[in-house]
Amino acid sequence: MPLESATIDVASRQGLEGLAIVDCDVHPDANADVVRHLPERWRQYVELTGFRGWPTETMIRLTNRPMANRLDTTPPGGGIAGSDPDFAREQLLDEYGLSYAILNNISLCSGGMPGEFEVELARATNDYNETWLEADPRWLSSINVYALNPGASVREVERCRMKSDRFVQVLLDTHLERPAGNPVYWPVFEAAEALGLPVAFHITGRSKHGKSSGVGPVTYYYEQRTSLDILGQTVVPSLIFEGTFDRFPKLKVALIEMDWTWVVPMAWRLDATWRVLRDEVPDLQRKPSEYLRDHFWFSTQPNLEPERPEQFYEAYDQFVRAGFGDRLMFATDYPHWDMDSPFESTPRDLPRESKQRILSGNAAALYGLDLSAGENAL
Amino acid sequence: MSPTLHPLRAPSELWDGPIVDVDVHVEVPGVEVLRPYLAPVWRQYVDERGWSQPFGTFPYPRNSPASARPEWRPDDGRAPASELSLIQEHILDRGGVEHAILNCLFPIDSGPPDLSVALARAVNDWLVAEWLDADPRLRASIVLPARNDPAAVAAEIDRVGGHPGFVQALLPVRSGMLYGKRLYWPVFEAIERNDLVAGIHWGGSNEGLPPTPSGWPTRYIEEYVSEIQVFESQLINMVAEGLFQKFPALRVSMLEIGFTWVPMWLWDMDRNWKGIRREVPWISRPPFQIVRDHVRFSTAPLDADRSEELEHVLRWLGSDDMVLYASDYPHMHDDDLTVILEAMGEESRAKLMADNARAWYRLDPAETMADGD
Repeated sequence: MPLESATIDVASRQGLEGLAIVDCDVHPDANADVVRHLPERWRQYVELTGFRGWPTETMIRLTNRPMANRLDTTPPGGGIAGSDPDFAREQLLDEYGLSYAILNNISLCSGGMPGEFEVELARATNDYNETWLEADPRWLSSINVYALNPGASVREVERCRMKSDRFVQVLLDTHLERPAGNPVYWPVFEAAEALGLPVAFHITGRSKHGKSSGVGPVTYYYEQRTSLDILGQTVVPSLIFEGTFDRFPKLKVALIEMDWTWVVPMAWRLDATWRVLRDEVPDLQRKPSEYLRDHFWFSTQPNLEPERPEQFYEAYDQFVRAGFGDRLMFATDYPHWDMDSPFESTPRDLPRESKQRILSGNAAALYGLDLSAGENAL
Repeated sequence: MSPTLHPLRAPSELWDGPIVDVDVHVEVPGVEVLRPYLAPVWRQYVDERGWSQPFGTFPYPRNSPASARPEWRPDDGRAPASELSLIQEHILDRGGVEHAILNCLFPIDSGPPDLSVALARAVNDWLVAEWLDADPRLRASIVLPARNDPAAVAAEIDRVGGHPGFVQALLPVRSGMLYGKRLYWPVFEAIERNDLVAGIHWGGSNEGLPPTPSGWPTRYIEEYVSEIQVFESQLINMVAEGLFQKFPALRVSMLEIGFTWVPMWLWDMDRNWKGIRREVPWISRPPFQIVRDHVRFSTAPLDADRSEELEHVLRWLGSDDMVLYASDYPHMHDDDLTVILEAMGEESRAKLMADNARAWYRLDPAETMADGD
């Protein structure tokens, strides 16, 4: 079947009746519109030089559509996928009856731009996202910041929160100059903690060049697309062993689009290594797996697809037994090609209580969302 | 403060049969032991610099507790695992050990490329003369100048690969460039040609690149925990580049990284292959199946402390051929062998402790009987 004629059928809501759905990962990909929110000086700069520093990897996606978007997400009125909040509302919020959906605007982190530009770009991105917030009350947004400038990041977080409490978390790159827990970023964590905002890490980032893996660049998009959990596996040990959570005991971290399947083996490795190397981190107040359990949240998309269907339940049960049952949050990744439908990606035979927690309960608790307000209220 | 560790040996009611230990480290105590194996030009090079050690950093900080279990650290100042008598006392003569495979992580791979080649040759000749020829229970990995010069790597594999004591080519996981890339294909061709295993091992040097996609870890404990993702990147790259189609007899071992992360990583690899396989059309079956046929994992570090949880992981592997017992001597882990032996089930324990490694490394138990029990 030619790709152009492929359509995604929206399956029925059967089995999920009466359950609210919150989507933790939606991508506005409207680069041109973001650039329009830049000050004149930096608009001219973009015109002069373009965005420099994209890793080759961003060019090896399977399609020539930006961010490998789903073909049918291109708005009928023109523009690229993820550029029309009204079409996205129709295709996502209304189609699936979502209570809320969180915008993670990640499409412009190239890495080769001046620091002052990056600060203004974060601001422009947030201002652009605000136009989505105005378009529908169900949109929520992350706050983009340029983490290598912590002072400007803190000011930007505070600016956004002054505008709207629907800016619900701070969004950081995962490909960083230094791993996530480095004290250089602590002012950002301090501000997030003080405002009660979770900090989210989403795949990709400005410092990706030459380090799409711990051994240099990958070759194929297949590797790039699969290498989500490798990022989580660097964020977690860094944040824990740098002592971030002893310094910021109320800090909450959401790892978005980084899989959740590696979490239990990581908890085991953390504790086993700590048993022999604890003298190196004498200030750590607790077993490292306890920080993992208490401070991290994870998102579903792309959800686990084991060799045999029953293995999903075995793996999920192990995740729950390890203490992460209230930590997994549903995400679509709309409008990207590998988007998960809430109706089809949540295995049918999960207990209703688990479905409720994954589809909305865990996110509602993390972000303080009122699910009774949505049209699909419980 | 030393933690209380689980005993090294499994309770005899769980396993008292033969043991093949696939990851035993041997340390070059200093450049002086290599002198007889270095050409005059390199002896002079070493002398002029007043060298006792090579340029490279040791992947394992010498004084870190993880680098040697307390009872394996000689109290007379000798480096752990640096003499045959130490390994005999600590590993080989403790009963039941049929074979042990030596992995020497001496950092030969820095400085001028000709020096790397000379050092690799010297270490390999030293391994033959003072270890392999001295105890028939020992096998070893070929130490290779793995950076920059694949032709030199292939040449060294061909030079010593015919020695019956060498069963593996040692490839540090941090290689500066992913091993599936075509630059390395002559290396794998040589490995296959010599009927050796490619042993991807913890450590190595990365040509200045940090060992994570997010920059340099600061603490060793962070670096150690973060290493799983490096193996994951190597594994998917080797599959994605079609290495196992190009070299259909290739065998790969992943060493000192455990295996609890493996099934879920392979499920992710399968899932995305389904969606993206037209980009890599040479992958003609699910990657998990390819890995089952071509890749093995050593036990240490085992991590898991409950057999009922580890049972799931072992079942998800879908094969009891894939895991090979390793002590990782002299490194300190807190592995509880009871956990994995109970999780394996009685019928698979012999495979874990010896049979899988015998088959993988073409080991013949009869060859060690003279000195064994």
